[in-house]
Amino acid sequence: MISVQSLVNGLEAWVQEELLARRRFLALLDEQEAAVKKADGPALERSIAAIETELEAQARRDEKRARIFDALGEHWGVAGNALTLTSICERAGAAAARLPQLRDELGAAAERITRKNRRVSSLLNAHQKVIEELLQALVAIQGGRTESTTGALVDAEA
Amino acid sequence: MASVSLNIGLKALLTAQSALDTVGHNVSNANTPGYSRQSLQISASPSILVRGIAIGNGVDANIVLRTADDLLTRRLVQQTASIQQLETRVNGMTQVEALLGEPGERGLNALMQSFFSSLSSLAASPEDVVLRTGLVQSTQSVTSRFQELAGSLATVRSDSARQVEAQVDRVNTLADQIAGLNREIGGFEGTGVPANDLRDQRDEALKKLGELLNISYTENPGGTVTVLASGAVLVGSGRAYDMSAAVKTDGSVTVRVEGNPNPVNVRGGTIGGLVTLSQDFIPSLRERFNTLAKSLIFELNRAHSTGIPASGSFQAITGAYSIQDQDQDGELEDELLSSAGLPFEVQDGALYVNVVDDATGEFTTHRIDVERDATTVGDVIDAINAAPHLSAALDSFGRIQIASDDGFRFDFSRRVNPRPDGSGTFGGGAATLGAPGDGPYSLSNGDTLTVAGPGGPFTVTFDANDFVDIDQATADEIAAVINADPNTSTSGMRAVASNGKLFLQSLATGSSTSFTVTGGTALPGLGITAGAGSTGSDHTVDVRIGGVYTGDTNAQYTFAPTSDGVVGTTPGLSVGVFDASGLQVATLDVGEGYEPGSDLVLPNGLTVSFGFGELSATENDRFTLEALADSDTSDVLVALGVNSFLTGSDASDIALRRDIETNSDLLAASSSGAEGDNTILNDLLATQRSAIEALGDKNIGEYYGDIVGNVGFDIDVAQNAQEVDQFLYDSLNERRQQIAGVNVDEELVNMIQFQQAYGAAAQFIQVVNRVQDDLLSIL
Repeated sequence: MISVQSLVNGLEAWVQEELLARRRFLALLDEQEAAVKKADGPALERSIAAIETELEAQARRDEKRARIFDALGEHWGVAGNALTLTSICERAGAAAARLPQLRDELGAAAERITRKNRRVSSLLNAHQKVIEELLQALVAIQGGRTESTTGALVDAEA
Repeated sequence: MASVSLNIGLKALLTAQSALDTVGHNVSNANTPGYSRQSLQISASPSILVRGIAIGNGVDANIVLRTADDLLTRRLVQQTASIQQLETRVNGMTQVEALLGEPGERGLNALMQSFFSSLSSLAASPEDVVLRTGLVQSTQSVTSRFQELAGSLATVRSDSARQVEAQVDRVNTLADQIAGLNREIGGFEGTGVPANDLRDQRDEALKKLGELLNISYTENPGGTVTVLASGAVLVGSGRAYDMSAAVKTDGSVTVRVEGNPNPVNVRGGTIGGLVTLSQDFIPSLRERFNTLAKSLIFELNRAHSTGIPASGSFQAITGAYSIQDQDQDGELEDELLSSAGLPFEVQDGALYVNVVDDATGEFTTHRIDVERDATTVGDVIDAINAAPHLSAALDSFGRIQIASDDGFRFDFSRRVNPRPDGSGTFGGGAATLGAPGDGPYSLSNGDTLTVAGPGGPFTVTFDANDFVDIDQATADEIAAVINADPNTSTSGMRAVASNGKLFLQSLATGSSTSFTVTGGTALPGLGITAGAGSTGSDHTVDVRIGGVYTGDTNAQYTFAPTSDGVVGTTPGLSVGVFDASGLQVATLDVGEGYEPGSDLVLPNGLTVSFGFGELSATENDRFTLEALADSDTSDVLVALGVNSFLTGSDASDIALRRDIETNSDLLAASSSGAEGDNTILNDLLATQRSAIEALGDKNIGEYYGDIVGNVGFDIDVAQNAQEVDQFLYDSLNERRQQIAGVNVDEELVNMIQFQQAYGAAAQFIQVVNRVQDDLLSIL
């Protein structure tokens, strides 16, 4: 059986990896926000593709974390999914000296992403609604129905 | 044909001329706020039929059209209202946050800490005058800060309301401007020519109006717009309707629009922000401060009201709160305590009043029962008046005044009576015979009691009129009837009621004094048998109670000997101790081997000692001890403001009791009056940490922390929302710029692609959210 210290070391490495991934996530969300704001289609497509790649990598990291948790749970006679980083810090004591700080950093990073995600989500919703209304207005104009009160868009190439 | 060709050429020239004019117009207005780029819509002119053949007719500079997208403009107006509302709110809330001054020396948190710290210091040396003065000063700092905050919040609220008035004037100016532009646009476009510049001016006015309040508008067929503010028409097709704001004395503000019977609920723009501050944020914050101040007053007064000041028990005291004539009948005493307009509520419970004999220091305790929905102010006054040497009445302000006779004092403390057998019903020197059972006793009208007293026989007849219910006669009622009969004292006798039990007792003491109950129809009801009697003793059993009662709830202990005998002499003589339910909780061995006067341990921190003398179970010797954890379970003292520490009822009027400000000896530090007793100070100190129901089971510090934290949180949320709204505004504005200059078909394709991309991005947003939730759950 792998020692608790080794598992905790592995866990610390996992947290470091997660922290890096969170930073990448945040950067991608920043790009996405800018793309939505500037209506930059190619940039939006690029950010979506990059987020998809990140999410795939996330699944692998989750599996790794679950394995470490299960192994630690075996040591302490509890189910791996009943453990948290806080409870591991308490149980492992000195063996997990650096873990509390890493946990706090990870928590702060996750909160930043949640907040940014919320903002991008609001932005996307608003844009979707506007575009939907615009599309309806445009279709109406193209179809020759100009009585719509939603405005008139015209070809400005004079 | 030539004319047709010429015509085509002319039209092409005119078209080019119009295009150049338009471009020039766009360039010269490039920096005009809200100006929309204009363009030419060029289309093929209708063909001309020449002898049945359609001949092309070139292009027409049909009309100069605005390319501004009404939809996006409308969105921008809405967004502006939201941004301005949030900005105004954030400004106001930040101002309030600064008023709180947390964390800081002038913050309420530091001042409350200092107050409790002063209390703690005084608890260590309760008689120290300097520390008492320190507590007075730190209390004044806290109460002043509460009042200051309440005043500042009221000022911010009324300032916000006044600003609404000023902003409403701007609304009316803009509404008039839009109405004027409506008329001009209607007239201009009636000729078939679009009034583009006027429309732009109107858009700009609408945007400015949107900065002030949330509006919606619709364009009418004639080119005019109808502007609605929360459902009320602000600008009609022909005119503007006047908006007005009325500020009430409490700082609340009502906005109305001419011709609309109901107030307008403005929630957006600068006015919406000001209204939200004035109607929601500040009143809610003020309410929380009031709750905190009220709880502080209640909790501190609850502890203080039952204390004894350094100056000793009271000779006279006046309540802080006035009774209100709620039923408007001109009488105050008939008001129920629960609806007498008092700031604090009473509970079902009891108040204990101690009447102290100045000469001996001995005191008697009187219990006043209070029922929340049944006891009137008059009932409390009557009950106090019924206690010997006490009187109570309402003063001209409707406040209760309590006073004692000369030579007596009173207090409401929970101190244990060290000489609880004041009537001598437990081994006293007088001949005493107790009724075997506790009252009430079942008597009938006309029942008699005949006693052969030391001074001769006498008979008492019981009249039903002297009882509330003679079948349920209380010991007090029976004793009053017996003692009211002049023959009783002539015979050298009296009756004593002690904690619901009836005793017959000789007036003289000593072994030569005796009496016998000879008969009467009342005997079965009293449980006394004919022939029963008692002989006095030359030795009075001196009962003394010591220690401090540590029980959590009020208790009543009855002491009764289990047999007849002499304390410290008779083998096997013991005293049973019974709780209020009759359960025996202790047996005290006071027979042979017990050294009279030595302490015996009782439950909950008390001790008892018995002096030498005779005890008689046959004659039903007994006494009752009230052991109080709380001498006012009814909170009637707090409700009436008697012996309060603080006065007032909320943050605006909370204050230290005025006479304590000038005389710190009136601070009640002890529950016994004994030097060094800091019980009440400790109780006051305990309020710092106790969970208070009115504060959602939080303690004072936690609740205040929540108030400060919530203000910070509200600001944070509003700032976040403001940030998001600003992003949306910028984004929409950018979109508007892009749309005003593209090919429609191209844009249509782009937008469809965008819709798909947005959909995909939104899906990933959900996944990212889930990933963050998963991560947070394992932290």
